[in-house]
Amino acid sequence: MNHCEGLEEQVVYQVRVRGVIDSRWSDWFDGLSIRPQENGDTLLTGPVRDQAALHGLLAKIRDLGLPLLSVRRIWKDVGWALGRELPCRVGGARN
Amino acid sequence: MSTSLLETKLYAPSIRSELVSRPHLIERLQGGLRRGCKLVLISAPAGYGKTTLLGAWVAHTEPHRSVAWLSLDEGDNDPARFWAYVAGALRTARAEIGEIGQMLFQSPPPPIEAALAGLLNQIAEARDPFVLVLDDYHLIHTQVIHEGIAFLLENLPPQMHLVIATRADPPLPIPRLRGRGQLTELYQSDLRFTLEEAATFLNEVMGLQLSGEDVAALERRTEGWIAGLQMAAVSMQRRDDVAGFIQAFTGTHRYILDYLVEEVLQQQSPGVRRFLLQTSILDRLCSALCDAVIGSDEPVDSRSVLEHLERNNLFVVPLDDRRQWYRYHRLFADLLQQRLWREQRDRVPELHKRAGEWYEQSGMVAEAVGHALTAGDLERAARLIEQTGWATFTRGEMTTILEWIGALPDDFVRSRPQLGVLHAWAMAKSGRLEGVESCLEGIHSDRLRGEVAAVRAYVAGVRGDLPRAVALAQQALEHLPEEDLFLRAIVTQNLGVAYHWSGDSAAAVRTLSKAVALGRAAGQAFQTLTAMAILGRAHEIQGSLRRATETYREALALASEAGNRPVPFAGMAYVGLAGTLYEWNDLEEATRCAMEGIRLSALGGFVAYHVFGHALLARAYEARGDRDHAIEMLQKAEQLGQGGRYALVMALVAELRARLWVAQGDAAAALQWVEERSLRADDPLDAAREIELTAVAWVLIAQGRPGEALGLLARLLEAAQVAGRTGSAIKILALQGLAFQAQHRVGEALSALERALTLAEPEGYVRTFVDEGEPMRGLLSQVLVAQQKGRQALSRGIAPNYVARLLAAFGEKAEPASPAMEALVEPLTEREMDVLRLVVAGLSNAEIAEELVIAVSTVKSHVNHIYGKLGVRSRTQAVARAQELALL
Repeated sequence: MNHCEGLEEQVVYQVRVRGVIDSRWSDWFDGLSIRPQENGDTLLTGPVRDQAALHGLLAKIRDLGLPLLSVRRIWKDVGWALGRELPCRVGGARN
Repeated sequence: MSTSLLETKLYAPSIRSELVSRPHLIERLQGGLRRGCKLVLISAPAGYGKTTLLGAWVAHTEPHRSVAWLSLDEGDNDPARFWAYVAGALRTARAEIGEIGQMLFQSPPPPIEAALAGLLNQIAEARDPFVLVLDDYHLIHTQVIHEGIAFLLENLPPQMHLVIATRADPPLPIPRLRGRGQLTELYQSDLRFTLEEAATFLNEVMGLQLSGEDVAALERRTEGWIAGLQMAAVSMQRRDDVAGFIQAFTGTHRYILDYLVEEVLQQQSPGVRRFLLQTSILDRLCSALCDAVIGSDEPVDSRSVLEHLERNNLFVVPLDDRRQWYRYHRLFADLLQQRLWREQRDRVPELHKRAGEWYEQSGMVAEAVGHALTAGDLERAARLIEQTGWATFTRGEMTTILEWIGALPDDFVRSRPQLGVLHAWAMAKSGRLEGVESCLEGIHSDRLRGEVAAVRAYVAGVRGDLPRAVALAQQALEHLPEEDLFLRAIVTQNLGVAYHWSGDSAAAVRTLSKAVALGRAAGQAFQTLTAMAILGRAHEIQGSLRRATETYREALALASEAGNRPVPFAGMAYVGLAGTLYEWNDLEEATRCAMEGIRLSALGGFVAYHVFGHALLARAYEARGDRDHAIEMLQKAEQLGQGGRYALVMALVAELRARLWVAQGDAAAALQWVEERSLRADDPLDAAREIELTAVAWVLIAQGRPGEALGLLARLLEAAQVAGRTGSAIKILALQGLAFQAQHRVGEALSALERALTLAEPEGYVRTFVDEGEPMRGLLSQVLVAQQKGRQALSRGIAPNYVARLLAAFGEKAEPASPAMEALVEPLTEREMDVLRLVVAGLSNAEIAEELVIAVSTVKSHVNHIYGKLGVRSRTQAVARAQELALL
């Protein structure tokens, strides 16, 4: 099976919360990348299995009292979101 | 005496006097109740003091109004468990609320509305107002439960109010309630600390001495988030350099709680810190459990740590008055757990393992399962599930079982056949019949052959495949161990019911009698009672009215054993009794039993009996010549029975409907029904079909087609005689008599009738004959004449008084002794009687409201219901009618 095909199908979400948390939280959020922003927000980004997993993630955020600002799906920018180069090009040039 | 875990869920939090009081919010809650709001909704994120506010409000409201409290858990997503806990909570406010679990455990389980309607009826009988609080409602995600709560709200009795505290707006009809003015709402903006409150909290409650500027800075930073202010305060209490703290805290963007909790943790001793992290995995804490989890390598004095935490308002919440159980405020539990993961990830399974062991040793098996599963301790988890599975099953908690087993790997489950059987039962009872076989695949153990057959028998029964159900049940009984009383009782009962439905009444009687004996031996009152109720019907079909009545009376005695008030499942016996009393023409007693049966069946959610009770009432009204009420009751029966699988009862209702059509002269409707019914003449003749086809024959006779009727009746008679269904045979023979009469074949008519009378006399049948009106009277007179003249060999066999008695019964114009019984189609509830008394005494609505301590709107609602039931439109009329009916 083509490794790239699997990745292309994964859906990546980016969640923005208010308040800075550090990368040590990544484990708690199932390995999402944690990137604090200068304005005091934090971006949590990464592949999310499906809708149920997404709602579970949002519930975790809710239960911590972290104000939720936005949720975006960014599946096309897989390589960038994960912060690493893919071993092959995914469907040609990046949009 | 230790607190049970159930008690901790029902415990309303006690209020510590040092917290900030918020009288304006309390007043909003009180105002809502006074206005008669159905729902109080408090929806705000974690850490905004929802539970604290409710706790203070409970203390405020308790002297005037009882409060039932339920703290919800993730595990309460199992509907059976959820409603069992709700009923348990309600029982703390109202001791009379009965067991709801039993209702849900019927086979087939009733729609949730029926069980809830039962619960609501029980609540409606309570006198005083009370409140049900559901805390942490956001944990519930099961759609079926949301629908149940919506139903509850739609039908909430006026004296009950619902309070929901949640972190997310619940999927309930909130806009509708708001539109009707039935909602009180509090949100984040209401609950956050104002500047004043923050100042009071920080300086007076926490004893800090902050300037106005400092307070403002903190208030800005936290935006009034109470949890944040609390942690900040705790941190500042232990510091010399408060100013430095405030500067650093307000200067960083860091997520408040992460920052603050770290601060506070650093301030604790290493022992306390270790305690906090390691016990964060627990839903509930008691000192013994904490000691066990922390272990003996570096032990901590859990008892004193818990006291320290509570004293300092740190993280924990007490769950009882004895300070035995606590839990972490969920906000902090998550944060602490996250830290635990970060720092000691690999130790976590071991911690869960220890928790599981402690729970198991303490006899709390269900709690142990959760921890064992999380620890990945599959062996222990499987063992515990097997141990507690059957008890969980009998409580109807199928969802829990399915979740537990679902958490185990497939091949692991396959290696443990007992789990497979439990899994199959849970699937079957949850209505997931297709999943059952794959659970049973590969179970070849001899020991379990009986259990495997038992669940397959149940599935066949639910699918309506009676021959298969019978065969499998028999197989199960062959192999089930003798000592397994409960399962044998269930299987035997299912077998008896299958026989009953398929029309083999002799086998039904035999088998159900055994089921009753087994049920008694197993100490299962509810299950025994259901078996008795069906046994009674089986006796009736066999023509043994006396034995049927005895059985019903025995069932009533059993049902009352628990206490003075009859329990809901007595409803089944009352309805049965109404049937035999009706046949004996004791219309008054039959009506009384039918009404009581209806009332109790409604309380218990026993739909089939609820329907049957109405059908019997309809017959009783018809017998008295009250056509209008008869039709009303019939319509109710049809409405209630819609959509359910109550083939037998609905056949009886259909029969009644056909008779009424004919009586009203609506031939077309009756004939169309006959068309539909006889088309499937090749169908096997089971109990329901027999009832329907007998009714078809009746319609044919009434519509002048006796020839066709006779053909049908001959077939029916043969089948009934072969199977020993004497009760049916009597009815069929009586109809044969009428059919022959219609064809002017008098000799054969008398002959058929005499055969019926011979069978009927020992058991005292009356209405079967009297209900046929004039034509039957004519025939009976001829029989009497023949007797008196000593003619007809058969006539001498029938007791002479019997025929005379029957003829006399035609003449009676059934005068009910108590006019109230006849006139009141729907009896008044206790509450309505209270209001009516005061109306008769001349009090105004406002005065009544004051007298009974309820809202005026509630009084008006009761008064309207009373008018409806009495059939009047004004107070004066109501008083007159009440006196007429001698109601008071």
